[in-house]
Amino acid sequence: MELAISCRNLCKTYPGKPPVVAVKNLNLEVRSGSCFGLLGPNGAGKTTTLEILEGIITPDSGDVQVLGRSWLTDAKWLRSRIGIALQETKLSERQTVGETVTLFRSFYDRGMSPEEAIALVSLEGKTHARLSNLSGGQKQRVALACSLVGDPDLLFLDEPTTGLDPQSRRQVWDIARSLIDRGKTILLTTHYMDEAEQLCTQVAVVDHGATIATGSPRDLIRAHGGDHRIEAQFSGVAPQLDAFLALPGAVTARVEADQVWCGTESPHATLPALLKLLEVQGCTLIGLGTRAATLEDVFVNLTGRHLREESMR
Amino acid sequence: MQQEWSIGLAIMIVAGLASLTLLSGFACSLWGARSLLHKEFFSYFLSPIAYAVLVVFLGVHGWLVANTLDLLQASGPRGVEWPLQHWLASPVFWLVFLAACPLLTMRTFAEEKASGTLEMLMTSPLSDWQIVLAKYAGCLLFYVVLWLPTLVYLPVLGGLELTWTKALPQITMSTDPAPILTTYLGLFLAGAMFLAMGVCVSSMVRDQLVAAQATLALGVLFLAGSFAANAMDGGAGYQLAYYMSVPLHFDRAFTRGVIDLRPVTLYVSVALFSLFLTVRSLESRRYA
Repeated sequence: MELAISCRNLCKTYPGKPPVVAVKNLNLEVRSGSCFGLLGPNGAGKTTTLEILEGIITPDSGDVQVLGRSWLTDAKWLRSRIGIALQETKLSERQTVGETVTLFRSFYDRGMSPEEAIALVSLEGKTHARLSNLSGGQKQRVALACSLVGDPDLLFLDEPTTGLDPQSRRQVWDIARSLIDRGKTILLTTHYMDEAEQLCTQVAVVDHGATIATGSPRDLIRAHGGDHRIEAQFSGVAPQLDAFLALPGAVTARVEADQVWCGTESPHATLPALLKLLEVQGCTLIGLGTRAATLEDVFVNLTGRHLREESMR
Repeated sequence: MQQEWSIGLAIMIVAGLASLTLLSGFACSLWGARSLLHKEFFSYFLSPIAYAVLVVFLGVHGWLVANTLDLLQASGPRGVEWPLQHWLASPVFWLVFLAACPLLTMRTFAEEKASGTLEMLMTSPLSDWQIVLAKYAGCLLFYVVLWLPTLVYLPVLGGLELTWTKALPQITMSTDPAPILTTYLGLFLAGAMFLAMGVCVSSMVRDQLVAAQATLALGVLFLAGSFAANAMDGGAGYQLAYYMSVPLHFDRAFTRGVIDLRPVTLYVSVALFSLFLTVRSLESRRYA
């Protein structure tokens, strides 16, 4: 198994009073040709991890190998083999799309033609348009074209769809999928769990500077979220958490005031038992819903925090 | 005597080789960043400030040259021995020179930092030196463009005459061409120093206006010496004031056809040190 990224015992502390530990003994392995998602709430250390992997900042300790090489010895080579699309990419508004992509193409010894990169992000009709006249989604696609024009082996996408409308998000997803089909390796950070589920073959959940779970989205959901979720809202005194965990098929449970979330592998067995439990407890059912478990459920179970809430703070 | 010559020759060879290595290194770096240099240079022509600088700069020069021409035609004690010296002796010239450099350099990094476009540039395979040199070379090139129109004054100031002998044109110069060459060399080197300081300051702040003001303040250090030197009569104080005073370098050396190595060393070393600091300033962003 060829690894595009390998880091072991990565540590980074920012000086201050008190010092801020951003990354603490983080381990990560990303296979070549895969799309790897790095998930975590704000302050979890994922941006610091990403910046270390991109060679933008240096770690205090730990071993980092990107495309089999180290930033300490092969920075120039690595920089020519990776593409980076930042979270909020700003480009000169005075330049046209064609000029911008051509400028970035000139920085690389090899790569695709600017026209090819522009076509890859479906902006052929905007080649001569100034960036000041483009929408947010179109600007993000120009940034993607700039990161792709050097034909990188490894692409870093830092929250590439944050702030974009649903249509633009799907366009970015299509671009990412086409890159995966071309055999590129992508490391993606995102706050959108549906995005990670759609694109990533492997994800790692990072919290407090360390990896707390790694695997495919499906495996993580199975292991930490249960296959299905039952959500019930009721009035009256809620039963104890243990009572929900003891329900047949229940894997996880969480109780908040008048609501319960229950992860289960057998909703057909858990649901009647849950209704019976609430009835015995004297609770009146107000709302009930079932759905397939998602990565967001995994995240909530692992960290106790909602990604969206964190991102909005 | 022979030993002194040998030492002098050896120093010159070493200095020459070091300069050649440095220049070829810069040229190689710039070749890799030629598109960025192209963008930086032509972005001046999209900026109203650059045109304003160009107009004021040339307007002041036109006025100064007209004054010099008056003196050239005057007879008796009002005449002028070194026309270029009179041209560059005016405080108005140095005021405009002092203001022009910060206006050209203030946007190089400060604008990109404020708008956030520098981050994207720093993710490219270009090294920090290449980014700094490309931006600096863009400024320097525009500075050269500022001076290019003044070349039209030279035939008059240099006393160029066109005569026809046997149907063949013959161009003669009634004055020594050396002051013209050394003056332009001095202006290029002094400009290179002021621009490098401006680029350095611009890389350390986010606000263009702050960058311009700080560069202006730094530039004053290199002009104020002329006032101090005029008040002194020789000695170490005068030497120091002379060494730091750009107008005095032109008054006493460059405009008289003399290349004084002391100011040349000052200009080159301050420019290189400023560029080094600029690169360090960019590098510090990586280790924040």
